[in-house]
Amino acid sequence: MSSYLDALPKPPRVRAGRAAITFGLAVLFLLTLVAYTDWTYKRPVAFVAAVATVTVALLLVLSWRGLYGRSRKLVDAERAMLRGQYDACVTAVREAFAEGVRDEGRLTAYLLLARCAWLEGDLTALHALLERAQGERPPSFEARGATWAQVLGQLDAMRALDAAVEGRAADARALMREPLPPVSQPIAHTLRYVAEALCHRVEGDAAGLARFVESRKAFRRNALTRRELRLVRALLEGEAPHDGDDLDARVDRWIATMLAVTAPRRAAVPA
Amino acid sequence: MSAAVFDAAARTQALGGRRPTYIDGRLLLGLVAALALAAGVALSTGGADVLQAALSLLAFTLCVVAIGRRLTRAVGLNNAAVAAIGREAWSEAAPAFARIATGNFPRGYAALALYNLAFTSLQMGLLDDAVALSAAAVELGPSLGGRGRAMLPLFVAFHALVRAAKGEHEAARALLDEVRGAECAAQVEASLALTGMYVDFKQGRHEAVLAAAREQRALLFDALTGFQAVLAEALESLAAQRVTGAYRASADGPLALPVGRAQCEVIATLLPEARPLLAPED
Repeated sequence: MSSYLDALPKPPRVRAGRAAITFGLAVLFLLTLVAYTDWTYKRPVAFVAAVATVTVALLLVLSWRGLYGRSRKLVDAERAMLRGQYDACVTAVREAFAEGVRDEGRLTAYLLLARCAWLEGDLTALHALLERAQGERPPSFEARGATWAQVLGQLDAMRALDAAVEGRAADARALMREPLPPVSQPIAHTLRYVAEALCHRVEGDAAGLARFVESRKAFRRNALTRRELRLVRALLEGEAPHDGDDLDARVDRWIATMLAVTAPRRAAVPA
Repeated sequence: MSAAVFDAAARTQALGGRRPTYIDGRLLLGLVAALALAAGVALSTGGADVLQAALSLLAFTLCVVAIGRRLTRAVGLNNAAVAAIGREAWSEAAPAFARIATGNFPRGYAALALYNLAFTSLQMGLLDDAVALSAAAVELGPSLGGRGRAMLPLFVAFHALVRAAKGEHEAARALLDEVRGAECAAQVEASLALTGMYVDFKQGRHEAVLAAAREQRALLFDALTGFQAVLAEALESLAAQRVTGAYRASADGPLALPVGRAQCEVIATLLPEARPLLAPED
């Protein structure tokens, strides 16, 4: 758990600090530039327009660099996560933070760590990371645009998953009440599917789980990875599979953990 | 840009005679930059008045807003269609992807839509269409920006897969060699590994298939979904059968993954040897 939380930076003290400094520097630069001309005084509105245009262009370039430059570390982190190299993922996320990843990039980084914790079965770290991500969730007016919607949809899906593995099925369902926004990425749908399946398990509703899996048959065979498929089958059968090689054994242990933490909290509903 | 590739794509069932049309992102950025520059030059030389400056600023802002809205629209359309793929609603997904591919969206999104159309066509049993559409995606791919370059190996992996399915093994291998070592996302890496295994299997290199399966096991397990996951499992099982005379030892059985009737047909098209291993659940 500690390695995941060690990767976390301090929360940003001033969200708009960097943008404000950039804006200030741009204005200062332009003021210096036009200090030698006299049209500033003759055409004040035109001067303001020029300052605004150049500043917006500058900010666009900076945000473009930020988006496509720093996010490469996050791509590295995701690659490491899906290769099962969780330490490498933590390192890449730490580097992304060190390089100043911000806003939705920060939440993406938290989510990557949370997915590592999930895949390793470290449910304490999973919860702590999602709490931290939730704490940095911006007000809705700040979180506009497709990228924000994608990240927040995924965050809520992971929180639902977290609630389900903690046995809080009602909380999990509350988090999944609203449909995902149309820009959501496939992973958000997958996480919700798994969370929903785990909720049925927590509620001891074997019949409900069977109905759910049957009703989303096409989704199951098209969108789930082999690990997730194996988990769903174990949930349906109520016991973890046992298999041969190293990876399968690791996955089987993970599934056994999921089954243990989601053991029905109340009397089972007969199938 | 090869016109023949786009003509071939236009002849597919999904595009129904419409050629892919797109807006080059760099052209858009150039336009925006030119507007800002023109405003700056006009103002600094004293040739512009207040109204002209205000109009330049307005035009610039509108450009930025329009680009943002267009991108959001493309993302929404694409992801809704991907969700339709998750429901196996191919006839719902294909028109949405076709709308992006032919609707003057930014180039990167057009390329991604062509790739998704190729994927959808394969699921609908249209192998030739999948080849034509994925070729168009690859054709559009190389000149994209940073994100596009990262997507190109995905397009190449799929194009190589369907080319290999048509028996063009050497061409497929050459395509894979072109993107070897490219920086890409894990899912793309997994697709490349899968296509490599597929080409190896088709060329009778069963030991190589098993070696790749061992080496990339975690990736193939956690990054592949749908028919690709089933194909990986089938390749591994069949290769093990060829090498050792037995299926890979597994409590799950060789092909334990759930598979639908349509998926069975796709896998059987790509890998006829796998047909006896496939048991559709619907």
